[in-house]
Amino acid sequence: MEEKRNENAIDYTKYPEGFQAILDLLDFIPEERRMGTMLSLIDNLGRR
Amino acid sequence: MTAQEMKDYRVGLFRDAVSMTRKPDRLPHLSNFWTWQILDMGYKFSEATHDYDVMEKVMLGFHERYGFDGYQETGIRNPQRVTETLGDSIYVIDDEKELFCLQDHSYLETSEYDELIANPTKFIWEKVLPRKFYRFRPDMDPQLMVQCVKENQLFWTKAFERNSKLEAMGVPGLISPKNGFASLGIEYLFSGLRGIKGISVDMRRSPEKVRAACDALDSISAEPVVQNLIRDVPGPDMGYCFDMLVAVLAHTILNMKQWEMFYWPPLKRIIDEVVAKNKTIQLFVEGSFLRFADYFKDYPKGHIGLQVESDDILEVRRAFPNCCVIGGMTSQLLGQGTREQCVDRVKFLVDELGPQGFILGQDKMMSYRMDANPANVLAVCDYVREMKL
Repeated sequence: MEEKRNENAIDYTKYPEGFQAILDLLDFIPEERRMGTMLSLIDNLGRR
Repeated sequence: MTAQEMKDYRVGLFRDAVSMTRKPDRLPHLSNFWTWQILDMGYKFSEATHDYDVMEKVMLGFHERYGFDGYQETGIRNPQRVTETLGDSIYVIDDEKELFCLQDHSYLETSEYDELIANPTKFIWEKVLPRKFYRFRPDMDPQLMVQCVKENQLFWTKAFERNSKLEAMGVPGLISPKNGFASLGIEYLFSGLRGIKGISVDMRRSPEKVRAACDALDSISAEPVVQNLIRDVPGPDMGYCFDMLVAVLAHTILNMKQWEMFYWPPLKRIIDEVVAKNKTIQLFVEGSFLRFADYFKDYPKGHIGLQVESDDILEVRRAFPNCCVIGGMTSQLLGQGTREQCVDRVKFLVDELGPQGFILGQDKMMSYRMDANPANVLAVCDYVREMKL
């Protein structure tokens, strides 16, 4: 059971799987703006 | 004058100065004060960068006290709450010593250039973020990232609110958000990913790889801004002092061959488009820039505002006769001179540089308490406000 759960666990640091999983949680942002929001954030985090 | 009229008046001062053909009604005065603002308003660095109500008091109070015509910094330089959501470790903030700085860092290894070039977004997500933020882990609670998104939204919402309140006080935004801020790929490598030491070595050992990496990073940072500029209608955005800004820092470690290879091509592309669209660009330059003067000589007057740091501003005027120059008031005088010396410096600058093509500003990013004596800053601001050209 433990192994099966680990197999299905998302690695959030993987792209695009982890990125997409986070994107899917942003239901408080209109769908058409979610990608732009995330890319803007990544740019900010990568640069600062 | 209403707030809107004052705002329009101030935009006019900047636009007239950059035109280099129209004499502004008076000398425009740009604030290059950064974290110094926080201390001057009586707060600590960590207070203002973590409490947006405090940051608002700092920015609005600073304007009430000094009354500059435009502000380089309105509290958006340091998004502490955003980065700390994921566990930030590269900032050093010491309120007791009044220290605020970044450690030189590298999140890109020499062997990883091909990965970065292939997909920079993937590389930043998979390699940079985990190295930079200790909470960004494979098994992290995804709500942490959701919280980071919300903090980023809050950061910009509060920034917008501050700017709106400054506008209600007659202060225009400095840079039009239509085109905004373009960061070149080489700058991203220099200050965000590889660090000063690392990039210096890489440019010598693997210049083609570095060039390809710059192009890849430009595709996600500078190129969208360029495309936006291409699509934009011609002409200036008269709601703002400049149409766009490029911060020029990495040139300080480049020799001329490296400048030609890594820096000039994307910068030229941006400036060419700014000129073609009859817009203006502020080049915020750290260090010295005189050795690059020839690259700018064919641009017509009226498009470039060149903010300089360590060069003598009179030499900059001679070397860049087609650019409006920004700066001139030295931190040395503001910090250690008398009020009379500071005011005399303004008179000298106007005699030598004005009345066309000059915007007064401070030569350094004013960050720490000793960078300026508040009485000197006030004396200069009061004098500039009353002086007609």
